[in-house]
Amino acid sequence: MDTITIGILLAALMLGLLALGFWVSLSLMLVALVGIILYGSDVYGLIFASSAWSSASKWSLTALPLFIWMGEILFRTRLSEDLFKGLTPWLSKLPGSLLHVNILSCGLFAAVSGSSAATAATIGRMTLPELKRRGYSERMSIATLAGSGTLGLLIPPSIILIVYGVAAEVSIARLFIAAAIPGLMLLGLFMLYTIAWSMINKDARKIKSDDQFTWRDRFVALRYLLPILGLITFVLGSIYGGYATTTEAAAVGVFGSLILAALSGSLNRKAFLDSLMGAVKTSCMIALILIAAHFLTVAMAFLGIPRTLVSMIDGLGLSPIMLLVYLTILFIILGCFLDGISVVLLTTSIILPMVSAAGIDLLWFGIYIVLVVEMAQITPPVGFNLFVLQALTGKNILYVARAALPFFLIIGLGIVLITVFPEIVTALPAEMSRN
Amino acid sequence: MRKFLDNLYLGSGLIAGLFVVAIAVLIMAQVIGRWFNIIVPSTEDFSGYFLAASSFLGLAYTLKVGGHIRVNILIHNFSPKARKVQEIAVLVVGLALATFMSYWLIFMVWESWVFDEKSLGYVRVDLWIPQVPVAVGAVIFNIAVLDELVHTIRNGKPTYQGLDDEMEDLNQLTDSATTVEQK
Amino acid sequence: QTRWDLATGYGDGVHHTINIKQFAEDISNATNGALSITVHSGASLFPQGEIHRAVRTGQAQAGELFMANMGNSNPVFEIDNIPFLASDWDSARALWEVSRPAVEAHLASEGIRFLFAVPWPAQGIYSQTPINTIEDISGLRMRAYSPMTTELSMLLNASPTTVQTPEIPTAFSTGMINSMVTSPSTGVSSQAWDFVNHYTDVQAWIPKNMVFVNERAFNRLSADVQAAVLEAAAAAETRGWEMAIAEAETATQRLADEGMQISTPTAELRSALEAIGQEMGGTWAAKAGAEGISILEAYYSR
Ligand code: NA
Ligand code: NA
Repeated sequence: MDTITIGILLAALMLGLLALGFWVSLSLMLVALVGIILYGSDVYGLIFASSAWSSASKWSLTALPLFIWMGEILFRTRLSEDLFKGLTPWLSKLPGSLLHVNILSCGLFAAVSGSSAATAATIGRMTLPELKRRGYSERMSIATLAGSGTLGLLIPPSIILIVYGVAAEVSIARLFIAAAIPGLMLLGLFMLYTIAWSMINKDARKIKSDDQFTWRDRFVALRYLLPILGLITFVLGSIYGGYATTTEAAAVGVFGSLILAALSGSLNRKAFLDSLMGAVKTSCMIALILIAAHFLTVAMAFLGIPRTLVSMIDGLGLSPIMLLVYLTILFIILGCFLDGISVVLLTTSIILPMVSAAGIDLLWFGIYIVLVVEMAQITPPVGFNLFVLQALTGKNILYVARAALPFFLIIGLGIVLITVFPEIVTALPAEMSRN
Repeated sequence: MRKFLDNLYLGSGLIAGLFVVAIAVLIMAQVIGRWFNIIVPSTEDFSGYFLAASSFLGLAYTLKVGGHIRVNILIHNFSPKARKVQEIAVLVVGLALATFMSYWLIFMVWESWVFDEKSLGYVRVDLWIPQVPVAVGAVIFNIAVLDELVHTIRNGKPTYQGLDDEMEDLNQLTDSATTVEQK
Repeated sequence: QTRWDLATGYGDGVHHTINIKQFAEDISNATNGALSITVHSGASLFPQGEIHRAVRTGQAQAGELFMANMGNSNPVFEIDNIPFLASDWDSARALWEVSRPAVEAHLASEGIRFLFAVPWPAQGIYSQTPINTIEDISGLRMRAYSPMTTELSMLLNASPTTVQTPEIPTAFSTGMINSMVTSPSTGVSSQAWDFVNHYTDVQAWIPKNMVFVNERAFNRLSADVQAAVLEAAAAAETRGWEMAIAEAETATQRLADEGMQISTPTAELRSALEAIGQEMGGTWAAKAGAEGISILEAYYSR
C-alpha cells in the first residue's frame, strides 16, 4: 500500500471511530496503532510505551494543569464577577459589549501563557458562566473564546514559536518581537468582527445595557479590576523581572490565585478540593489526548505521510505565492487530524529548505506557521480549543467548530494581510537590528 | 465491591490532584530558591514525573465523571437499543485499548528495571520508580473501563452517559440560540 | 531492500545532522539502495531522552545522542565533559581514543553497536560583562544544564541557574541569567548576539555526539551491507571531526561579525580555570572507579 492510500485509510478510520462516539483520545491512539502496524513495525507496544512516557512526563507541559487549576480557583472567587463589573461601564456603548471581555482577557492572558488550550480553559472558566448569566448568545461567547484563545500561541511567550525557532535556527527573541504586531492585529480583527456581528444581530442589540455611565462611574468601576490586574502584574512581573521562566509562571499564577482567593474569603477546604478535582478532570482529558496525539505523531513520522505530501508540493515547482497557497491548504488539512505543533515538527525539516529556496524570509514564515497552527486549534475533529470548550460547556465539538468558523476565517484573513503587507511582521525585528 | 471500586477511582483521582499540587509546590520552591541562590535540583525532571503520575492516576476518575470527551452528534440520534449496542461496542474496543495500554506500560516499568535505566538530569533517578504510578494509573483505568462494560451490559447505559454530553439539552440550546439569533 | 529509521534530537542546520545525512546517503550509494536510512531530525521521531532506549529495544534501528546524556548510566560517557582536561582538538582525539573501548563495551552490553562519534566545537563562556580574571565570574548567574555545569559554576563561585534551552533568550533578557557555557555553534544557532555581548574562548571542553545502531538489526544485514555501514561510519567520523574544526572557526567568526566581543583567556584566568578542572577531574575519577582511573592514566601517559 502506498503512503497516500494509508493516509486516506487512517483518516477514514479516525472519522468513523469519532462518529460512532469513541473517545477522542482513544480514537487517535487506535489510529496511531493501526498506522504503526501498517508501517510494519513489530514493536508497536514498546513504541506506544516510550511515546506515552516521554509525552506524559514532558516538563514544558506542566504549565497546562497549573493554568487550568488557576482558572478553577479564580472561577470560585468573586474575581470573574468583578472583572465584568469593572469593564461594563467601559464596554457598554461598544456593540457586543461584554463579549469583548473574552477577547481582551485572552489577549492579556496570552502574554502569560504559551499555549492556546490553557488560555481558552483559564479564561473560559471565568467568563463563560458570567456571560451566560447576563444573557449573551452562548454561541458567540463560545466562538469569541475559541478564536481568541488561539492568541496564546501568537502573543509571546509561545510554545510553537520556540519549537519553530529551534528547528529553523531563527532567533526566538526576534520571533517573539515579530509576533507582537500580528497578535494585536488579530485581536483588533476579532473585536471588529464582534462589533459587526452585534450590529447586524438584533438579539445582541437587545442585550446592550440601558444604563448610562458617566466618566466618573467608569473610573470608580476600575477598582473592581484591581485584583485581577494585580494578579496579571504579579505573574508578568515574575517573568519580566527574571524571577520565573515562562513555564514556571504557571505555578506563580496558581500561587497568586490562591492568595487572591484567600484574601477574598472564598478559599475553604471544599473550594480548594473542588478546584483541584476540576483541574484533574480537564487536564487528564487533555493529557490523554496529547499522549495519543504524540503516538500518532510518531506513527506519522514512521509512515512519512506529511513528508510525502510536502515533497509532492515541492515537485510542482511553484511560485512563492502559489507555494504559500498550497502549503496553507495542506496545513489546514493536516491540522484537522493532527495537533498543530506535531504538524510543524513533522514538516519543518523538509519545508524549510523549500521555503528558503523560494526566497521567503524564515522569520516571516515563523509567524505564518503560527497563524496556520492557530487555525488548526479550531478545526474539527482534532482541535484542542474545541476540546477545551466542549469540556467547559458540554457543547459538541462540531457545534463549537461551527461557532468558531468566522474566527477561523479571520485568522485566514490575517495570513492574507501579512502576505500582502509583510512589514506587519518584519518592521519591529528590523528596528531591533538597527539598534 | 461496588464501594471498593468507587473509592479506588476517587482515591486515585485525589492522588492525581495531589500530584498537581506537588508540581506547583516544587516549581515555586525553585522560583523562591533562586532568590537565595538555593538550587532545587532536577525540578524539570521531577515536575515531569509528577505530571505523568497525575495524568495517568486521574484517568479512571475522569472517565467516571464523564471528562473524556467524544463526538456525540450522531449517536444521540440512535434508538435506545442501537445506542446500547453502540456503547457496548465502544467499551469493548476501549477495553482492548486500555488493556493494551496497561500491558505495555507495565512492561515498560519492568524493562526500565531490568535495563537499570537512569534519568538524564542532575539527580540520578532509577526510571522505573516514577514510571510505577503511570502503570498503576493505566491499570485502574483498565479496571474502570471493564467495570463500565459490565455495568452497560447489565443496565443498558454507562454511568457517564449524560455526564459527558449535555446532548439532552443541547438541542434546545442550539434551537434557542438559532431562534434568538434569527429573531 | 532494508529500511532503517535513525532518530536524532538535533535540527538540520547542525553539523552533526548534516554529517549523518551524508552518512545515510553514502550507505545508500555503496549498497545500491539495499539499505536506506531515513534520518528523523529535530526530535521528530523520538525526543532526546528516549533515543537510547528506542534503539536498544529496536523501536528505531539507529540513533544519535549527546554522549554525556548517558553519564548517569556510566561516568565514562561524560569524560569529555570534564572541564579543561582535553580542550584542544589533538587532546580531545587522544582522550576519545583511550575512552572509546569503554564506550563501545558499555553499549555492546546493552545490545547496541557503537558506530561513530563527532565532537562539538570547544565550549566557551558567554557573558554580558567581560571576563579577564576568575573574580569576574564570581557572582554571575550562570546557566547550568547538567551535573557537570552545575558543579563547575559552583566552583567558579557563580550561582548555577537551571534554564531549559528554549528559555535561554528570555532568561538572558530578563536577567535571570547573565552567563552560560556553550559552544560557538550553539551561540550562532540561538543567535546569542541578540542577548549577550562577550564570548570568552576558554576552550573548556569538547563534548561529542555518538551514533549507534541496534545490534540485532545490524546482524540481520548481509555481510557486504554490514561492511558498507562500518566503512561509511569510519568515513563519517573522520569527516565529522573535520566539520567540527571548520565549524568552530566559522561560528566564532560569525559571533565576531555580529558584533560580539571575542576574547581569549588571559594566562591568569587560564591557570585558575585549569585548577578547577583538576579538581573536577578528581571528582569524576572518584565516581568512575577503577575503569575511569585507568582511562585517565592512559590519557596522561600518552
Ligand atoms: Na502566549
Ligand atoms: Na484541528
